[in-house]
Amino acid sequence: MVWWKRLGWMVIAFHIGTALLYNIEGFHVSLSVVGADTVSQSRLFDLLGRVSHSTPITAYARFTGLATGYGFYAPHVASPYVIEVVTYAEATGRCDTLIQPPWAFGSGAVRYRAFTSSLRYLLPEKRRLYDTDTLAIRYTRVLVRQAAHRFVGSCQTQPVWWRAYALTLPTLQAPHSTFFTLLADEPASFTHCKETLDSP
Amino acid sequence: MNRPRLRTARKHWIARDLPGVWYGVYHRALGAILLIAFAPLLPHTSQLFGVSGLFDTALLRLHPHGAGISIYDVTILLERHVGLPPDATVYTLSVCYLTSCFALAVSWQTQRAAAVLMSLHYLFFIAVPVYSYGFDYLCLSALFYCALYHTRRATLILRLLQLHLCVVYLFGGLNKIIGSTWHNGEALWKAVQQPIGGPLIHVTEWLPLPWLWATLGWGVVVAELSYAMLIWWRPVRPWILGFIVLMHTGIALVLGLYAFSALMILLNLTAFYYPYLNESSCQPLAVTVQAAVHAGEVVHNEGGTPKQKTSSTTTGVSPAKPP
Repeated sequence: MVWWKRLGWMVIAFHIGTALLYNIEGFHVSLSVVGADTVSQSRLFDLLGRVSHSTPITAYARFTGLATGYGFYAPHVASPYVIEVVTYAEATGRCDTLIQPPWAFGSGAVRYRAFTSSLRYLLPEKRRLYDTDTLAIRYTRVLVRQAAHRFVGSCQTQPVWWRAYALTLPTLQAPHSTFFTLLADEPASFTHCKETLDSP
Repeated sequence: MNRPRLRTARKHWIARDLPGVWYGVYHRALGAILLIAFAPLLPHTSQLFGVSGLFDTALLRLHPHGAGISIYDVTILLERHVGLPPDATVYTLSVCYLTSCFALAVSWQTQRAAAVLMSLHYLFFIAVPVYSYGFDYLCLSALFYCALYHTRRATLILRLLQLHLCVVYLFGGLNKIIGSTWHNGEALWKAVQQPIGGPLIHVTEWLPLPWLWATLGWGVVVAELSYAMLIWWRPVRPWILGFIVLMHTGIALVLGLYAFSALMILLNLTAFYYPYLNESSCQPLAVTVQAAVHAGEVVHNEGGTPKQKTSSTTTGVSPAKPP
């Protein structure tokens, strides 16, 4: 076989091997989510994880878009997360409740949704499906707080209060049950509207 | 597997020349999809990536899953050393992104445009993955294949793309089959209840039928799991491809993930439809390879229509009179 054909085979093997590595790792995470007993295989998964996180492979995988798992909407479909901001407009004296920034429609809505999916790190420990390190939790909390404070792009309107929650949607078996899991509930710096908020 | 068999398999897999028509469609449509996905963000780029955005750029640079140079690094660097305002940097790079998409769509400096676009896409969405989702990673891979393309390695790139798609669907299926909610239809029901990007069809009001969602859920799992094997089997290929295209059309219409669906449909058609477009009317592989040896010439077609209706664009031998 000529050298370039051999090289071709090696390129294919490395590229697809990298994709497989990240997906096997992702599959291991999915198995732990569904509670499958993977203790016997965890050594193998640990080894594969170490290989996939070695610097040259990580760099290659990130730049070629392979550094991800393809378990879209699996093993379970995630709940939607909402950041709700109560605002007060000084000029009009009007209070509003916003649930997304003004640019979050169409393509922007998909991007905003990608950000809010990171709110899963703030779920209470009992409801958390994935292992989450404390840095990710603290970082997400800061990020969400900042997003809530900057929701309103104009200086005439001020945020007064914000909260973040996970929304559990109705199921096919229980079509009328919706409930929320509160992730954060804090006042913003501006408090003109406090009375309105506290009133039922 | 014995040596002659291995040689035949290798000849069929790597040395076989599949018409390059797929690449022409691929890079044009990829450019168009990226253009349509990014253009609506242009008026809001300063709010998404600039200083007037939701987050401090300094905070985003500390993202736990961030790696490499991001748009936030570039804006800070240019502000510090050149004095360029951050929003001006963001707008300039956004315009560069759209220009590269346009170049890709009109086949101008295709490989270079793909390489630039890859870097910019990484800069905007992957280096700090705060706004990124599955589409961005697949996009980067698609651009990688586009940038790597050369007529000499056309078949190699096509094989990479085909195998990559098999990995995508195989693991998509494996991850779904272990989730109980995919068996009873709850997963699909939950997904359609939370549309993302402004869907055209709202099914939740008139279709709360458990058996329907369970059937559809199993359909998705089975199709994704079998894709990696059955897509190579010629008689079944149109059915698998048809179902997958239908599934992604459904995702677009019901969930509003238009860019993602368009990209997946494009990748599927590029990998398993266009290269085999004329296969039914062509000569068997053995004859084609023999013809190529006889003629001593194999033309690789870059994006154009094959000169003859054969699977290998072999010239010099009349298709009506095989040697």
